[in-house]
Amino acid sequence: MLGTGSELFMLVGVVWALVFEFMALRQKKMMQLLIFSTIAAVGYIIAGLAAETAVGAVGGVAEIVNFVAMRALVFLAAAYLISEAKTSDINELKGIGKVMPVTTSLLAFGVIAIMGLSPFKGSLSRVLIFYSAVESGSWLVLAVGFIALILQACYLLRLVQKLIFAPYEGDASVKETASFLLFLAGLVAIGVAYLGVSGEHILEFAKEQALSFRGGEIVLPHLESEWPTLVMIPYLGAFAVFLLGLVLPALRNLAVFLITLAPVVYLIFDPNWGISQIGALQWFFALSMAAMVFLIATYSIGFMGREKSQGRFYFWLVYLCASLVGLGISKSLGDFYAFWEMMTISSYFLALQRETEEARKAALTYFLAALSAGFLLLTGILTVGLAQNGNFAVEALNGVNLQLPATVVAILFFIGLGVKAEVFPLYGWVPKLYEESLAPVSALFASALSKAAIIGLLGVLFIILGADAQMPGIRMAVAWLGALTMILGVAGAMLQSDMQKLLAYHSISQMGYVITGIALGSALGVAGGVFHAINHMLFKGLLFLCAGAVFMQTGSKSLDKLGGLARKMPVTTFAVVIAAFAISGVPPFNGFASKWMIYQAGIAEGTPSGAIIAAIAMIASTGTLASFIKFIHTAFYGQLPEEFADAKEVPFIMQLPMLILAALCTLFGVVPQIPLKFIGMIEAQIGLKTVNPESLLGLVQTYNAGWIAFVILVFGVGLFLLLGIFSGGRQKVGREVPIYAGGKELEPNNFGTGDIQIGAINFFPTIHYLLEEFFHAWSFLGAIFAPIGKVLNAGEDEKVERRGHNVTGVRETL
Amino acid sequence: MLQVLEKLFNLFVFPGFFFMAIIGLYFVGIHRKIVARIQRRIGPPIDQPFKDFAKLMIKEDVTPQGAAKGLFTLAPYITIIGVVIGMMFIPVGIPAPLDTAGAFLVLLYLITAAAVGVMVAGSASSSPYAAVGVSREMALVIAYDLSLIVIFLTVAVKAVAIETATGGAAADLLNFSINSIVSAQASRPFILDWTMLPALLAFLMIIPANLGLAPFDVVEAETEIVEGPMIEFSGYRLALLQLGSAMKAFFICSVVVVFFFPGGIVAGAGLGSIVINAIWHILKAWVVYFLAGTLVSASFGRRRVDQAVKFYLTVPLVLSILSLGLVLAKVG
Repeated sequence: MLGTGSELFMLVGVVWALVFEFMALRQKKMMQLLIFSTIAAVGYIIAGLAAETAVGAVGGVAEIVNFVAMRALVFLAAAYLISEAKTSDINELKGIGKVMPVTTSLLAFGVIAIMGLSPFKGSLSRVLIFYSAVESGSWLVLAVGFIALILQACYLLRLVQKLIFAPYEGDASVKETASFLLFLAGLVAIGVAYLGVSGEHILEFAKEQALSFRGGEIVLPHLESEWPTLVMIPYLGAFAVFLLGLVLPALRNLAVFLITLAPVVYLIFDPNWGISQIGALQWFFALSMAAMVFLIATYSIGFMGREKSQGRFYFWLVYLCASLVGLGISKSLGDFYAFWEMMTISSYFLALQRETEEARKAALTYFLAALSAGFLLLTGILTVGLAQNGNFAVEALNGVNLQLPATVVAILFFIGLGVKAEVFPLYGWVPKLYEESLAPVSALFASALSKAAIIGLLGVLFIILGADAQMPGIRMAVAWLGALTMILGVAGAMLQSDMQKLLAYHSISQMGYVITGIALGSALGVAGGVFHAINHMLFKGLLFLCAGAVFMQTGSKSLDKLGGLARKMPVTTFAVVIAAFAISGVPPFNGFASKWMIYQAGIAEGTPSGAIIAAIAMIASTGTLASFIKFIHTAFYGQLPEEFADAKEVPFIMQLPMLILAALCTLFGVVPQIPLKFIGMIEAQIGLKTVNPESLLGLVQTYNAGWIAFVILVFGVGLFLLLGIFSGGRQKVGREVPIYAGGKELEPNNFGTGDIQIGAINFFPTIHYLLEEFFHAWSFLGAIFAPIGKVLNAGEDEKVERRGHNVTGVRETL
Repeated sequence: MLQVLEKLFNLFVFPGFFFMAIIGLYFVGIHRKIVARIQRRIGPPIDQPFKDFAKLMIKEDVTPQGAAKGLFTLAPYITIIGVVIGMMFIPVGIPAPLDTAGAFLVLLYLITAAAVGVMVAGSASSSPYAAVGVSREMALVIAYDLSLIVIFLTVAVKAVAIETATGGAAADLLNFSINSIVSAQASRPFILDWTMLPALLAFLMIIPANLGLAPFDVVEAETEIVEGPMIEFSGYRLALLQLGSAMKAFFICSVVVVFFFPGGIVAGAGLGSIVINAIWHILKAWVVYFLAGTLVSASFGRRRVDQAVKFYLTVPLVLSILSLGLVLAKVG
């Protein structure tokens, strides 16, 4: 039976898995959930062993090994947990990770190992099964398998979330003791870790077994390579940081600082990691992302000063650093995918840090969206690699001889990467996630993670598939999607009163600019898009850091309640004003330079489409300016409410990254030649033959940003002096008076300053009303996704739905 | 060295600060006189704005409690700086002193910057009345900026089309400087081109909102929010704000002139022809100000902010899109 394999048996395997995963999803008790899950896992093994091509059989055998080890770990940990807590109901076990940390950590480790995302190098067995499915063209098997895995991720992660990332309300007498079960679980955990690290040996063993019953030659695809030092330092550093944190927290902070600094230093100074060795695109983005992680890590050391559970935060932060650096410098798509998955899991755990229920829901939504996208990405990668007989190195790949038409592959990559790049219509996960995460985590998402997708898009679409030559229709469609993203992001932002949610919508909008620029495909467009990506990292990261600073000092994120902080937090205000002008594209900051290039690229297309896209971009810019005037006024100017009267400036270690980012925003705006030099090299690398770096610089020099900035400065100073002389007749000393409040002074009438501060929700009532009507009219589209939500929530208790009310219904004429 | 001195002269004297200040204040003075006459009053003398400026400069310096001191002092300068730098891009008798590639986009931003100056001023004063004024101003800016963007785009696309039709092959990196827009109208100014008339009409409709004139002066609605963003300003700061407002009037009318009917009446670069062309430009700008500012504001009452916003989101937008469509159809 297993001599030749067949698609039918593969299908049986994955359908079996799907059915039992769904049943596991509906369980409310942990043991039953785990049992159904284990039965489901047998389905994947069947699919592997029954695969048509021999590679799948290798995967199947390896999967058996993993199955035994990982499931044993999970059951042992679960058994101990249930025996101590005396209940198996998941909702009653909420937050038990607080009192039984070792057990739940082992359980969590087992769970993520099962999903193939172990921190000790995930297992390739499942990827091999998928590879084999692609080889034999069994697309239905692939689709059903992916859905089953999404369901699995949903209930497994929900379990882990509820156990660890929730507050504990149970019995205080539950404790961890040095029990035999725990000890055994620990041993198995070490075994699972070993399995991951020595993955090649397992695969060799599996290959021999598969040969014995399949016969013939088996050539495994070359999916992973050795990790270079640059990645090993932060990777091992993550574990070191965690262990150090258990012993000596102060030293741990220093370690985080140094370890995140290391990749930046290497990339700039070490000749082995120069541009000619790893390519302009990889070097530039790797350096930018590493630098952002370093700045945000520095900021976090100050921000997290009083929070709990810092150990796991810093572990995942440094792990994320490793994954981003690895992703940037990877030379093969197999590595790219491995680091991509590492990035997803670490950002997921970082997003959960706040431990509220909304944070859990938002993080799980994000993970499932990213996982689905990751599967589409994987399909694309496997298809492209298959055409080169399993060689995934980037220089070997091209877009010929593919199993699927090139257009379909391009769409797969685009959707797979587009979820992280926040394109319409794939950005649904963004607002809630950014709102519920801690500010530095949101900063990481907005600045570093979305750029990882851009590397992928540029590399895959241009280098591998040659998109600029081949697919103008798709490119225009993507440019339109980018334009829609821009304007819908801004429209959403104008309705928000929560600082981080407002910034989230703006992040979506700015990524629209990047996508549009790249999709326009011309030299100017791609340069503008990439330049805007870098600028976005700078100013968006800065905005989130400032929002975090305000939250840390006042405890409030709501623009309806804040006000007047400019006098208490001058450094933060200074940084925020620069960032707000940068994002609105006001000269002479960096936003103007990159947006100007994108507008020109749109107009230079010469077609009505191009002109309209340029117009939409400019309109979105105006909307951005409006939104940030509101943001700055309602948080920093106006009246200071009494409850925030003792707010202070943030500590220096947090001010330093903010000031550095503000300085970079100004520098890149006044001297755009600096980043554009590198961008020119990137364009040459990705084969845009119509430009060389010098002519791009030549264009920018005619724009003369530096000259305009100089003129503004000279004129400003001159005018100030002139008018000072002119008005020599007035008194030197000014006088302070209370503000005019309609004849009624504040204090005798018991008005608080908070009462007269205009809140964000009242800031533009007319525009607010018009936009709400607009979104309400399109809200029926949300009903399409309701069934998916129902399926994924199958295991949760029924909750009473309460419709939030934020439509005033009455036109205010304020 | 001579170049630098020349640029400084351009910045501060002509067509920069002093020139704009004098002409702008006279524009306002003439405007008030005409409006008064239309409303059957006598009205102030034409040089009243100069006297107001001088009076305000010698008044006491009063700051509200709670204001953000630095920004409160600097905000009135933002409008003036924005408007003067913007004027550097506009040829008034002499070629534009600071024309660069992509200049018309910078011009768009500078027009918005002038409005931002008022908003920042209101924000910094910490008064709730000012905050309401700021929010109204921003809502209006969003509304008319849509049409303004489309108008700018129409002008740019038309200029590019004419240039590529008459001149050489367009480089794949296009120029978009003000000079190119002016030279595209060398044979026939845009005002005589029927496809551009809706855009001109839309631009004229935008002028009252930009300058705070009736019927769209909600921002300074005296009867509702007591002068809006400028409520806490007095003395020399108020003088600077009013000066900025007057200069902005001249600036925006100059932009209309440059976009739709530029060009002098006397060729040559001698001092005499510069003066004559400058006077011609001032006259053209004043005609624009008279039609779109004076006549309109004397005749209409104030609209509410939601009525104003809805107006700008419909009528000028439709007109400017109509123009854009006509231009693109003839082009593409």
